[in-house]
Amino acid sequence: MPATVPMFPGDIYDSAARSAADMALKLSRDDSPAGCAALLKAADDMGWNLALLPEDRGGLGLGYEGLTAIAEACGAEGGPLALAGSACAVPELAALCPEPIRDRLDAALNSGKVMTAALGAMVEDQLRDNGLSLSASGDSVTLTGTLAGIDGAVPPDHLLVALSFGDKVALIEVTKESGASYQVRRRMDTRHALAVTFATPTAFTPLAVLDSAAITEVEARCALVAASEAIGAAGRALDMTIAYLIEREQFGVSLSSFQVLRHKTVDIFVACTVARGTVTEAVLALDSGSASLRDLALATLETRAAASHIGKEVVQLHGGVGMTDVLPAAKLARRLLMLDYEYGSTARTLAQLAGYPS
Amino acid sequence: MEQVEARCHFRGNQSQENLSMSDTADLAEFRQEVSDFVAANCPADIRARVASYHKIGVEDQLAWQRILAQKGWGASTWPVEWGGTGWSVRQRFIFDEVQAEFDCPPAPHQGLRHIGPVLIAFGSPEQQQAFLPRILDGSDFWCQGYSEPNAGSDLANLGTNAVLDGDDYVVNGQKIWTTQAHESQMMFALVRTGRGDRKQHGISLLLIPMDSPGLEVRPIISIDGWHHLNEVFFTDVRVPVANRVGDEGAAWTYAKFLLDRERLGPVHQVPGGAVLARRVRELIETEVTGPARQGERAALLGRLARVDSRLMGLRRLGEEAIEALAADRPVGLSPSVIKLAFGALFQELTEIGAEAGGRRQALDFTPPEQGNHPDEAEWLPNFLYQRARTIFGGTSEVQRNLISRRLFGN
Ligand SMILES: Cc1cc2nc3c(=O)[nH]c(=O)nc-3n(C[C@H](O)[C@H](O)[C@H](O)COP(=O)(O)OP(=O)(O)OC[C@H]3O[C@@H](n4cnc5c(N)ncnc54)[C@H](O)[C@@H]3O)c2cc1C
Repeated sequence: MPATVPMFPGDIYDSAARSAADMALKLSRDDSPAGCAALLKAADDMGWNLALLPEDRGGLGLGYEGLTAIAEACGAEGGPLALAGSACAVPELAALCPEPIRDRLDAALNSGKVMTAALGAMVEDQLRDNGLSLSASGDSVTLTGTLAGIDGAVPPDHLLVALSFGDKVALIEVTKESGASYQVRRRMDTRHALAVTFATPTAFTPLAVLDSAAITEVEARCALVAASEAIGAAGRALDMTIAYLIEREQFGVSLSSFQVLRHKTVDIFVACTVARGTVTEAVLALDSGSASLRDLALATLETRAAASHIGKEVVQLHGGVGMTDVLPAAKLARRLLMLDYEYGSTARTLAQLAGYPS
Repeated sequence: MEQVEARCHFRGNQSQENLSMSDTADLAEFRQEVSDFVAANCPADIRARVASYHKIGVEDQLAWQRILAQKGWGASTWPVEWGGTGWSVRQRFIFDEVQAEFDCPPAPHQGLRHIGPVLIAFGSPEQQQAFLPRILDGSDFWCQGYSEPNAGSDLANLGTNAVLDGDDYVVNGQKIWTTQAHESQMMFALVRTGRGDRKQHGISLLLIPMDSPGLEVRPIISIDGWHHLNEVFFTDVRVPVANRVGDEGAAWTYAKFLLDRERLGPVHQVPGGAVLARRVRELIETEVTGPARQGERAALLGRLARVDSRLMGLRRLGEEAIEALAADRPVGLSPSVIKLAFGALFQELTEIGAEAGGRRQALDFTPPEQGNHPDEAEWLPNFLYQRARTIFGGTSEVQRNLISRRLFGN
């Protein structure tokens, strides 16, 4: 029996858990772009990308409770898909656009188009390759160079990019017609990520010009989805670690007989349970419309710290084999260590918290 | 002072759950009613002492207990027939929350939440009549005589002896770390009345008046400079057999009974943590000021943010446990997690508080027992005292042992 309980137990979690296990198996056999595209199709058939979209916009209206239940279930399987970009950032960004544009983006999401988003790219230098530059003149924004670190495994039909200008953000849409090229890269947790390149200066008319606070909020919501995946990964990594410590013998006895290892395991369990509590609390607040930016930041702050702690301890408690890339627990550990590079970071969250009213 | 705080919440009579109160509007009304009463009736001088972390004496605790008892709110966790309120789990939680919010002194929990419930379940009718009303109305303060020099974490190793002699037990031996023994009227003590196959057998529970001849209390001054703790020596102390609770040699069962009912205990501490966190923030904002200290302030606020985030998680775990208990579902390991995590969190909070507001006290430390800083909050002594949070009521290491048994299945 798993040591931890899911954040939102129920049918959505159970069916997502079955599908995610199946996806992880398929991915382990074929993680080529074609294999990934098949997974995206399967996820789309199950409506995962529509989970958050409200019913009056043609979605399933499952709220953050539904979406994070799916994310947690996926996380336990190592996160075969990047959910935050497609299922969270896209509908949230669409909601910030004028109605006709929002309706067009919603319709695209509804018709199974591959969609994802790039947030925060312009604040993070390391995500800009080949001297990505942008300039604005009149009503248009011009881009050259490469933008990396985008959630997704196959080139999207629609990519929404948030670009900062002072305290404003221009939201642009990159489509197949935009003349951009995509490279599929691999993150440290082996999941795919995309980079998009504009070989020549390419001009876009923004879908919307927003306050940067609005994008900060979308990023915080995506971070919560990523944190939910980490909660799933942490719970599964804990179970694997317990099983390993029971099974592995040294000095003629099971490693689980050593108190220091038992206590370290309890500390992982506690960290995981408390982080799960913070994310659940923030999700419930979001769905009831009472979540402040501070709530979101606090939830991800705790989960980032827990994920980092658990990821490192899981490696340590497995000894040498924890350092290999064949061990499933080690893969989950890398997934956990990845969290602090997704949708913000601990340092950025702390800086944001300093500015939020308590 | 709060040695078994975590063990003390008696589940009360679930069948008395007042279903109409599940309504949120009713609960809001209830909260308002409690707030109004507390604001109007909890003495300002006691609240000020609580808010500034000055020592809360037995008199403070009993004074507030008497006021609550008069209102009929003296024992929110007891069955109604013994003066309980008949409140739901959630109402009891709201009651605690409001008290934390208004800096009320802690309840005299050794009586109310520890020996009281045991007497209700296992005491003789005479014991119930003699002791329960006096706990409820704030006449008696009780202390807990469990730990001994050679029986700490390994409590069952206790050796204080009680030998039957006519209608009395004759008690010899020593207790230690007995919180507020010097201010108590009564002690409930675990004593050895025999030896069985296991050391848990042969332990009995005695109710001992503190003015018994042959009973001597000696102070232990703790690192915060206050006198909370004591050693208690027994030299041929005669205790009537009528003061033995339940069967001879069966006290371990009663201790386990209490442990079963402590499940929600840690949950009730969370509101106090939230109040302390708010106060630490205010302290940083008023004490650590000016451009030269900007970095320091940011560092302290960063640490506080981590505490706030964990408090948020613990609040949710507490809420889930309350919901589970109200629906008669198992609460799982959440309360254990809360106890373990909360101990560390509370310590971190008081440490941040001491760093922000306790420098002068650290550099000029006269024991507060000598009336050191009457006008300032005792951030430093509070930080020192709170080291006990991970020691009393089962150390954090012992908690980890318990949780690991569940995780590893042995
Ligand atoms: C402020 C305060 C108030 C108290 N009030 C009361 C009171 O009113 N009445 C009362 O009866 N008692 C009281 N106590 C005593 C308290 O219950 C004991 O201190 C506690 O149970 C630990 O026992 P010990 O002090 O003998 O430490 P020990 O048991 O000697 O422990 C020393 C260290 O070893 C660790 N340790 C012990 N066993 C194990 C193990 N199996 N595995 C791993 N680590 C272990 C402990 O965690 C601790 O770190 C109070 C204590 C304090 C600090």
